[in-house]
Amino acid sequence: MESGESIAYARVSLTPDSTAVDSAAAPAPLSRTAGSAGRTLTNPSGYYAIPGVSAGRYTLEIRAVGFRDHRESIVLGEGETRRDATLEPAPFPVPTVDVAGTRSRPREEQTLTGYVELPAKQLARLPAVGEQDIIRSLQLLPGIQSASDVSTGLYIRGGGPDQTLILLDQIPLYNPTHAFGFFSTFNPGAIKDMLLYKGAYPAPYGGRLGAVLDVSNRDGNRNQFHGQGGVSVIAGRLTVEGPIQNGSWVLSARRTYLDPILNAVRSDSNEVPSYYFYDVNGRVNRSLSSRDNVMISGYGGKDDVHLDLDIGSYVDIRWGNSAGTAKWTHLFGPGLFGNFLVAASEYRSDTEVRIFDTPYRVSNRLLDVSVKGDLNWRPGRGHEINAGLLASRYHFEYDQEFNGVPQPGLDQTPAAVSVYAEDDWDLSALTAVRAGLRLERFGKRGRFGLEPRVSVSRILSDRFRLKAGGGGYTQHLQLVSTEAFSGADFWVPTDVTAKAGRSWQAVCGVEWEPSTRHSVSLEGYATSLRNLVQLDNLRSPDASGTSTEDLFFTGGRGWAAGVELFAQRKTGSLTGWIGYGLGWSRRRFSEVNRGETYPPKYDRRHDLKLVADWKRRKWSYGAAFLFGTGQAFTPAAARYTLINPANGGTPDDGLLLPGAKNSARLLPYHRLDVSATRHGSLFGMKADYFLQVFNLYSRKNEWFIQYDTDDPETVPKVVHQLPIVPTIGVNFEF
Amino acid sequence: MRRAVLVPRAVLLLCCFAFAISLGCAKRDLSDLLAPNEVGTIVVQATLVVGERFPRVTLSQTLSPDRPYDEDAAALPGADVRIFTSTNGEVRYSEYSNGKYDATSFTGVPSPEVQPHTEYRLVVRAADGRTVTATTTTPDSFSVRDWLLLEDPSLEIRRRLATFSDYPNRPDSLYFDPKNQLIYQDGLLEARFDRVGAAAYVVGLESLDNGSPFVIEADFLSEEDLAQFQRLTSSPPLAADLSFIRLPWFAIFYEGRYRIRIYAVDRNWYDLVRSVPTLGGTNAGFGGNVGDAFERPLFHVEGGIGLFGSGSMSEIGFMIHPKP
Repeated sequence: MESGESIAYARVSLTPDSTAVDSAAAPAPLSRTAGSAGRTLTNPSGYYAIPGVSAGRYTLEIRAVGFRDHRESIVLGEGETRRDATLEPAPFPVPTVDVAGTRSRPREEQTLTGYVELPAKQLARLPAVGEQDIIRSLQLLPGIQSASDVSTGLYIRGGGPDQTLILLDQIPLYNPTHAFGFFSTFNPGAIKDMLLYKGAYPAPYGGRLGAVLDVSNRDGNRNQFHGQGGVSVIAGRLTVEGPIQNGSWVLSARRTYLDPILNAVRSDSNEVPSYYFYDVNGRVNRSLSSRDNVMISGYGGKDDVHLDLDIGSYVDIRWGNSAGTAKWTHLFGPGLFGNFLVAASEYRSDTEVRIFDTPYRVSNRLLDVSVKGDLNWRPGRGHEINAGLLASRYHFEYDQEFNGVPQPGLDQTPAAVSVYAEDDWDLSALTAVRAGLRLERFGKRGRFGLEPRVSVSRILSDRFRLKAGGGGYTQHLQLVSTEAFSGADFWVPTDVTAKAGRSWQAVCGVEWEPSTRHSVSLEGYATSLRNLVQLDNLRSPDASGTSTEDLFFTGGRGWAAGVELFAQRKTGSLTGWIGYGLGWSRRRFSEVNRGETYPPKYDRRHDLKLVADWKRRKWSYGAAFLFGTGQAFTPAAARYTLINPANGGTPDDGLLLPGAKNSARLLPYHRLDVSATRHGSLFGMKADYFLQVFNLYSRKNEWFIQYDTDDPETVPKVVHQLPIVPTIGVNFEF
Repeated sequence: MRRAVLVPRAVLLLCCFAFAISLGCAKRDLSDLLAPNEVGTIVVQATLVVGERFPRVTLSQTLSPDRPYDEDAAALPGADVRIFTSTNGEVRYSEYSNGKYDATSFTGVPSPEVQPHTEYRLVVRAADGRTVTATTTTPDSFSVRDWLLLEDPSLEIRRRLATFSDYPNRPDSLYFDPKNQLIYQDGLLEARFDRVGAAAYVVGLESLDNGSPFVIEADFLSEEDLAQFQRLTSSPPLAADLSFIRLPWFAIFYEGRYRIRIYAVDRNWYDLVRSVPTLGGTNAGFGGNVGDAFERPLFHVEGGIGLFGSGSMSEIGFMIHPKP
């Protein structure tokens, strides 16, 4: 089905047609010196430019994954500079992980290390738990860890979730989670694709020490009305889209339907909370002229939990994100293209607890309003210049009140401006260099960060490619994240009492394509981290002072290093990949672990992932096997006792003395997920009926060790992660 | 032929499932969860309270984490215990019982009572030659100016409570003073004071009437939950820049007599109680990954662990009655 959406990274080639047929309407036959040939790729908005083309007759060829090859003879008249094309979708199977297939690969994927482009449709087919989730599917790639089965936080190449920038239509989402971190806010039906830079990301991006996940909403079908949806054990979702004059619209919505079930089982003798989440995505695209396009998109989502304990005792928690983007795309001329946008993103969380008539309230809010402009210029063969500016105004609010007494809070409105420029240069037919510089200014006192970026790729043969990259990165915002309850997450800007976080990354890799349907890559990385901060968990909640130095341990250092092997089979009835990572990660703070270096909890030595997707007639089968070294934990080193000096009390079984931080390991983690999908119909609509089983053999994977500090038993408790969880549902299309 | 091929495939598939299921049976040696490499570390405990006599010093050693705590096995007898002042004063201790030492001799100190704004240094020499030292500087004298019962929510003063100074010879009578009869959740109890140079404030609560019934109404709590409630409780450390402390009703569980002590504490005491959850620590896992809350406390003891801290104190007593 043709949707009219733009096609990014299509390969375009223009070849002079030496066998041009003379006609009364055609220009004079070509001379050998007339015209010129060229090749290029379309940019993310589907535009391409080939400079230096004279009038004449040419053959225009366009190739893109998922589409039939487009080939046509064209005649360019004097002064004619534009030729659009429409590609037809191809029927061949789409690979499980699309690195742009066998014939056309995105420019980013050719030149950058650690880059993966992931169409949402393919990720959504992988085995899931409860509800299809794109972020969880990312955790099936090598080098990407999760903290637990109930968390969608991304731990990429030894970095924490706060070190990954997550964008939706170019605006950051600051807490993209539902259900306490169990699901992400990305509705598979609303998302077009995801670009993941696992490290050494290029100059157009900034603000985080580690990685970037750039998610785009779908444009909508410009040709006809279309809809799709799905029902699982957790939620229902629906996406509708259609054309408008010179454009399209799309609207997606998703909501849980657990509340009627919870209401039914709730009674006076049990405290069953009420809970729901919903999210809505919308987007409108319209071409105002042959040179101008406008897009408006929006996102809104919310989680709501309420628990009545008794008269005068309850827990009430609400949190959610909302974001909006308005973008104008303008083609200034051949080879000069611009994107300009205004965007806002807000995250808000409110908690009210009342126990035995004692109230406690905490709320936090982050508002980010940004103006952004990017230019893409192709001045001549081999060069592609990108430059841009981003200006953001933040509003951080955090306040709390205990027993009617206001506690110290936070209310800050820093601003940030960054500019960048980069040249993506085909140095030769075999070598490409992408070099850039990003400059950031943050806060009232104008802290500057200069961030060089460079990547080099060299084609060694028609099957081997060598890539290397690196750069410097700065981060001014710090996330305080609670693994088991993402609704409590909040962001804090680092101020003048602490230096901004800084990282230097270096990545080097080699790619091999032994055949058109296979590829193998081996990549090594090293990251150095400075000026890290970590929440001071021991701080009194009512202590005054809300500077970075008051709230956090500062001046931390760290490093991460490793290698990743990624082997894919991309086409055919059986597709999938094997990913293996070997990595180390360390941190050091003078106030933690007596100043000794320690591994963070998510440091995992070995990380193996096998994913397979098999299609046979009306059935599709999927499987994913994960294996990883157990996470680090702090063991108990001794038992002692102390009298409480405030009341003379003594704990019955003493206290446990922690040993060196994270010096022990949980058992290795492994699980097998499987899925089966039957392609059929439902009331005349195309429908896929699926059964997915998470953790097929119900491995009791260890999550953390629980030490009862009030009554420490001689044998600590091991808290396990999810057991086997089957899911059924149906996806439909109309 | 087709059936013959299918049967081995089915057997192979079943074997794979059985193998996969067997992988699910994780075996864990629970002793791997412990790393008993700090057994035998000396633990000191002594808390100086301004205006009171030099306290008992308790010495013990850490035991293996896989055993219940045994006070007799942990006790550290036969040590030389002394407290020195910055003006060369010395307080010597003698062993009272197994691991417990009392002050018996005072040289160069103004009195047997702890002085405000004074640095004290504890030196312990164990019988096996190990030495443990710690230092504390006592805060200023601290006294609550007014113990008040306020109207809720207007915060107007309903009445002032009587204090122990009103009953110098009959302290037990304070609990029966008419002004100190409080109805559960009726009004707000507040202590107002002038700030002193302390690191923080800590509140200790004691329900003095063993066996008195619960005053809380909590149908949502099970018998097991109710058994967890204790008659001795304490607050987490409270900010040093406070000039009042309001008692939250969720800290009161029982009918009968209650004694509240507010301590203005030094840095050692503050750091210990905020880093040990049982003592009121705030390290309850907020922020960060689960399991990361198990952190080593802040001891400020060289050569060992424990608490050598100081504070000054103000207290009051009252009677809690259930709601009519």
